[in-house]
Amino acid sequence: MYRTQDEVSLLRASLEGETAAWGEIVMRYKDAVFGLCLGFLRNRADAEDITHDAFIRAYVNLRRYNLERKFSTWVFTIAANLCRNRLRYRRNHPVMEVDFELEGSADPARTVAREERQVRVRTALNSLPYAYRTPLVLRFYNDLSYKEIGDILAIPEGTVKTRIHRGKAMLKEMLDKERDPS
Amino acid sequence: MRGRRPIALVAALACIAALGIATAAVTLDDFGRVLAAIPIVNEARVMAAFELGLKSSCCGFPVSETYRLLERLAAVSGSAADKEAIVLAITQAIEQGIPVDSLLNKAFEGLARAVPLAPLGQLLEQRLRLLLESRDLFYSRGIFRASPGASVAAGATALQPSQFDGLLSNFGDALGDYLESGGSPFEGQQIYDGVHERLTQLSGTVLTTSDVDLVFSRIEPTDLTQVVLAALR
Amino acid sequence: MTLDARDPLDELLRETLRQDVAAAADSLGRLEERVMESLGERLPKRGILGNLKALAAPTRGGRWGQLAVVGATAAAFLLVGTLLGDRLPFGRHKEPLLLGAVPAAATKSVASRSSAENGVLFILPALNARVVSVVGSFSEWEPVPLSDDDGDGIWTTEIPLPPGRYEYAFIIDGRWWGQDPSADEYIRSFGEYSSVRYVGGGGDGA
Repeated sequence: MYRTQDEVSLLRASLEGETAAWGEIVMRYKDAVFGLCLGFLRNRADAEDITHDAFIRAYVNLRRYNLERKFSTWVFTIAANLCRNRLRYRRNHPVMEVDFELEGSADPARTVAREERQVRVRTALNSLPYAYRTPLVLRFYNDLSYKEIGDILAIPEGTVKTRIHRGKAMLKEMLDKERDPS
Repeated sequence: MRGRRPIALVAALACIAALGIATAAVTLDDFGRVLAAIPIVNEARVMAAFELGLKSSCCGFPVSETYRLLERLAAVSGSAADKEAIVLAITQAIEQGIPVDSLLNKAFEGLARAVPLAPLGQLLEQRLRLLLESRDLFYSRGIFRASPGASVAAGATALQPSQFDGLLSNFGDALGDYLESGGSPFEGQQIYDGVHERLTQLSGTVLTTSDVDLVFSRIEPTDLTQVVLAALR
Repeated sequence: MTLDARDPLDELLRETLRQDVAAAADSLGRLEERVMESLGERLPKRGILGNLKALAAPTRGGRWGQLAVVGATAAAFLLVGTLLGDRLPFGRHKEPLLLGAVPAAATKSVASRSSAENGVLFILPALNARVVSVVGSFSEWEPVPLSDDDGDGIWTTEIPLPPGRYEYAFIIDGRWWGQDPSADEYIRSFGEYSSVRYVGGGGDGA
């Protein structure tokens, strides 16, 4: 019954305690929130945890959400804050850090050219500092404007632009180096 | 005089080489130690920024120079809070992706001239604001775009990121020099001429002539008045 | 004016990131159920709205609020700064040094200053000086000594410099001298003069 409802109706229903309406919201946004978390954390299990926690936190704070604001920006901001906390925790518990690997795509015999390129980009992306990686993810995966990215990451719009172009420059340098190691 | 030039050259080379050798491969731990010697209060924030700097050292962050500045700050006498203001100006530049070379240069010069640390910190903060405002002007005029496409040929609609540091650094530095030489923020044409002169002198060497032309085809003297006033606010 | 070609890296990034999320589709598939289960566990008795009220009460946002205050304070601290200028308390009393006129030496220096194969020549006539050095942006403002081996009062050094713009000053027996007759321009820096040289560009006669 919720599938066809618009977002505002779903949020109103959620506020009235209909967790199933919230379930529909989760369904609509889970990929986007997960993509963002993966961008921050580079670890699938952690990203899933934080995505789950972000929807819980968003729900319990839903009364504070202003319906005139874009919902996605609000929920992304919550997720970004949780990711930052997790990164801070990892810094103090370095054993917890796990490199993000994507199984199944590194077998050279089966890898077609496109996958190969993706593996290279993924490896390069994962070695970027998160300050440069997350704006790239929010821009190219979540398709957000510079202003929205700035709101979510709490940095000025100009800094978002600089980080995106610096991030891309770093990626290009890494990819070029890999192609021509000399 | 010709005969003694090689000796002088060797001496100069030795002096400059000594700067590089002392801190060949600086690590985050080295930064931690020198910050503890200053010492500073916002250590976590500063360390996070230096970690970011180290990770992006491939792309212009001057690691050893920054480290040597911290060493000099630790050695000089003065209040820790004043020293921290200087460190925070550099920190903010790293956080915001702004080139730090012109800030480092001013800081080194100020320390060499034994300028009191408090006004030195204020001057660096002002220069940082000039850089940030200049950067925003570049973006708003399409001189740089966050994702400028693949073309690099003359006639491109935006400059490539590789030009960003050199251009922004010299642009902001020229504005700072203008103000510190007693120039008025309301003389847009004078500011414009000063920046134009500076970038033109460098075109063909560290900047390309077409890049400099593109910059000045997109900004007006009034833009520079606004940049300077915003930085002074 | 040509339009920028689309950057293939942008597309590659999009594809890669989409692929990363798609690869987690199986485990993400049940996420909404898990969220609803968790909410059910967290909000068992009072009813969801009642729990919402309880959970959304001050302590939840309090920490973020505090962080915001700390952040704002730090930002305000960083932004505090006043326009520097004549108020700077470090303008030194400056007597004219012995360099009012720079005769033959200056001619020599101008002739040889554009970066030769060996480097850029810094040359300064300073009769009776005991120690002369040059400091500048090329040396992180650390002194590089000049020498006067034949004792004719003309001090020189040559520094290899890549193309660019360099600010510098001489130090003669401990006193700074920022107005090199061979400079391309002078700037005021910290209330004092500094010299500027452009190497390899328009300012170097290229």
